[in-house]
Amino acid sequence: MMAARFLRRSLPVLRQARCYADAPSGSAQMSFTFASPTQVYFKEASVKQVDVPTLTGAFGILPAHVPTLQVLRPGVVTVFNDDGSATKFFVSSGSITVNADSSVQLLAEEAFPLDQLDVARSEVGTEPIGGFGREEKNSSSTLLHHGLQETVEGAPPYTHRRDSSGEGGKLSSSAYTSQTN
Amino acid sequence: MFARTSALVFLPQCGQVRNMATLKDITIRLKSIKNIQKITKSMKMVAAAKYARAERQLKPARVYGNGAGALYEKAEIKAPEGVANKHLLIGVSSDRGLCGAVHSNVAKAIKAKIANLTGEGKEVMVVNVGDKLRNILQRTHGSYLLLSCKEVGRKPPTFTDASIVATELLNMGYEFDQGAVIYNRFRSVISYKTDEKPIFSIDTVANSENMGIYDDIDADVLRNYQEFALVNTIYFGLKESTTSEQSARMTAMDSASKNASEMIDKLTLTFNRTRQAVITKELIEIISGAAAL
Repeated sequence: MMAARFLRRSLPVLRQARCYADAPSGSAQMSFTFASPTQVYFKEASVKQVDVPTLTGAFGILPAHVPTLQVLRPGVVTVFNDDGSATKFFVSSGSITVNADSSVQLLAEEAFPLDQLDVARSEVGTEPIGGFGREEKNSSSTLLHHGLQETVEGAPPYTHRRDSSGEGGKLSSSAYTSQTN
Repeated sequence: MFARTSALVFLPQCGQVRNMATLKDITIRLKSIKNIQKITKSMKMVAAAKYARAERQLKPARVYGNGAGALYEKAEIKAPEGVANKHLLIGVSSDRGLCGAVHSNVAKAIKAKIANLTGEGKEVMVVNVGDKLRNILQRTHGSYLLLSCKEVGRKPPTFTDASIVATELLNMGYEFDQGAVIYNRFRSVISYKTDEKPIFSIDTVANSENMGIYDDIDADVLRNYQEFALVNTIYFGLKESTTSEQSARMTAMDSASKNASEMIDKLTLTFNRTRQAVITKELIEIISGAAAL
């Protein structure tokens, strides 16, 4: 049944035959919304470029980018503002939508500006301390740490599993994208 | 003549018994209403504090929820008309009462939708988030209940809660084509409105006409994206609902306190009048008794 569903779903992909892109009809400005459930970083702001890490690879989005839907993986999102400055955020997972009218919605499950993160402290979290509760914290810190590691060193892509932990804490391991491998 | 004197004798006794009894009754009633007023006042203050926090958390949640729905709006995704599709309604409310018409509004909207859809011959199932909704719907629409969630409303909802609801819902295996999250949208401290946000299944989105313009989408990405969007919509509904609920509870407790103080005023007046009447009566008895001697 699962195979049939995949086959059925792959049909639309076959329908979109790849061809040269049409001339961009979207506006020259990108309306960029970047938010996590608890905080809004950009709301319909106009920025020059956004670099995002997705499951299929990292790419940069400029105004009038081809419409697409992607799922994020743990990594760094870089936002290049109109004035040239760049701000970096670490995201755990989420989704990105680029619409035809050049509006971009980047919804991250957890997102923090890089300067709020301390790589050394996240390393400490990965040491096995023992006890059930600690192990959960362990796994979420491992996730974060691997993501950070790749950010810094460019390690191979990390496939994260779907965890439903009951903790509502800051580094909860509820990486929502269910990647079945 | 006998009848007249007996009637005269009868009345004062009846009157005396009534007054004495009512003085104590009034005292008891007054004390209990004062206690209730204390309780409703403190509930109002607690609700006001929770409302302030919920409203603060609502601002980013709104941007987040609207961002999640943007794809459906911009791509104008609709389920194919005329096909007997399966619907899913997610009603978002809470476990706790004393908050006005919050729960009954959502239940009313759900019942109306069920009536509509079954009238058109479509299949409907309902997911409740909140015990109060389950209590209302179970009696008449129990056969439509797919899943029910408890322990909602004690603490402010988090993204994790929404993801747990969505996980259980997807694990139930009900293959719906489209649906809606029904919640109370917060408008202001004194007003909220029952609203709904659409949700679609993966197939509906994939087969929608405007999806062709979206580049480079494969089945896996779309499935992840859709599941994430479902969680986002539920999270948005939860946040709006809690804010509406706390503001409704604040209003309800406020009017309850006001009613209680009105009753206290009236009862105090009655109490004083009754007390004076009893004293006057005793005086008259004493005086007339002394005059008889």
